[in-house]
Amino acid sequence: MNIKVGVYSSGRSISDLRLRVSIHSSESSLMEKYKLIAKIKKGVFQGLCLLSSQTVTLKQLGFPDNEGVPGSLIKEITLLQAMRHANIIKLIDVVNHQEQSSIVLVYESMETNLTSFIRIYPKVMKIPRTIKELLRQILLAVSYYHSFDIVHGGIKPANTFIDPATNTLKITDFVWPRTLFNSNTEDPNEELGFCYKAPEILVEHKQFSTAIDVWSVGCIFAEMVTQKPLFSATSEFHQLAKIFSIVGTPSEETWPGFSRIYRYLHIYSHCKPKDLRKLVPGLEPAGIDLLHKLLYMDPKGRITARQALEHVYFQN
Amino acid sequence: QDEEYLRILLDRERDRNHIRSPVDDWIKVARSEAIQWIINTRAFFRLRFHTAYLSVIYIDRFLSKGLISSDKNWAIRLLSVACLSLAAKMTQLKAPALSQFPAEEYNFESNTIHRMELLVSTTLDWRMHSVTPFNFISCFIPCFCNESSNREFVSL
Repeated sequence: MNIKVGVYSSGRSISDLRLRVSIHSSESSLMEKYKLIAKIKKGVFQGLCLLSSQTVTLKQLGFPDNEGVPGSLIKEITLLQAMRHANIIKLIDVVNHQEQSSIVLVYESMETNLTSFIRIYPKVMKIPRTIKELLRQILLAVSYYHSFDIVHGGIKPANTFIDPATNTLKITDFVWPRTLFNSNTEDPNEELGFCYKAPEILVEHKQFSTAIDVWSVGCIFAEMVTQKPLFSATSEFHQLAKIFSIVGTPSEETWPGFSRIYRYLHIYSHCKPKDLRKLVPGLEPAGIDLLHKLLYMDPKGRITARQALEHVYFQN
Repeated sequence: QDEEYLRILLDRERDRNHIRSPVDDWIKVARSEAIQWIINTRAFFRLRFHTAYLSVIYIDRFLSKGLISSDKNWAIRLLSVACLSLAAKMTQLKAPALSQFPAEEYNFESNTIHRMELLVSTTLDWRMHSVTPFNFISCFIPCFCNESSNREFVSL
């Protein structure tokens, strides 16, 4: 790396001094180190590392205003750098790009996400042991995030990657959804992300905890068994009604204080919880019990990722 | 729980890059001027002491890479502004606006500070979570005071 700080003076008084920091390594290095192969979606590209011939995912992040590198981004990249877990997609590199108006995060790349894995290998997904092993790996990743007090906020099958050769599972996309989530500019084309959103997120956008990720894991668990989304509504608006229709409309007993959090509760008709054994057929009783605990409506009563790993479902 | 936290802090502290390169005299002078500016600016913005300390760690880590080659006072000042801004963004809920930094005789545009922030972040490999003595204080205070509630009263 060859970085130099240079000064370009107009030759007048010191206050007129025009300073330019020229970073020789940055502008060219992205293209020197990586070759773009394809655009995946806005700001996300598939690339090839020229040094290692490894396929990578490149994510370009722009800076919203003239206030330098956003604090949230500095904290997130610092955390991502510190994270090392077998079930989390690794951040390989951070590169400055385009005259420092954006940065590019370089991640290791995996081809098959859970959605396509279920489609390509429906028989493998029918094996209870496979489901158990994949769920265990998701929970390991989630409890690792939570041990850093990080809320992923966007866990869904499209963000969950599997290596078909080893059945190793890794989750990703943690900078993107959370940043977007905060700025409330979520990509409208984002593939049915709301199906995996916890009820407390759907009613109250500001207050959320690590429990929202646990709910998403519950949704994915059911989907691995039945091979279709459990709460598949047509829009975010209908999502809550769909959840109530299956888990039951919250009452003072099942979710104390919910009517105060959510003023529109009276709009929804009163539903009794449905029998998960019928909705998720083929799942062993211990699995049904764990699913109940993952999809517990009141976030305060929901099981944690760490507790879930110790559930009897994983004991045999 | 506190013991576990201490263990993590110690691991992280041991992990950090030590400053090895021999330091020129002009850097020593420039560094102490930079620290003086940071102390004044911390008071000006009423930033936490922790923030000021963290920014000095960034400066030392950056200088140890030897990227600033000769006697360039403006570069040291620009580095101080960028490091204090980055440290504020890491540790404060609200960081000062780039245009508010009192660079005194130098007039840096926000865009210039932004570039310097990026240069510093990249040079430090985006490892901005350097451990400072302040991280340890909240653990040690209850040991001395015997009352955990006191840890909130100490100005950090």
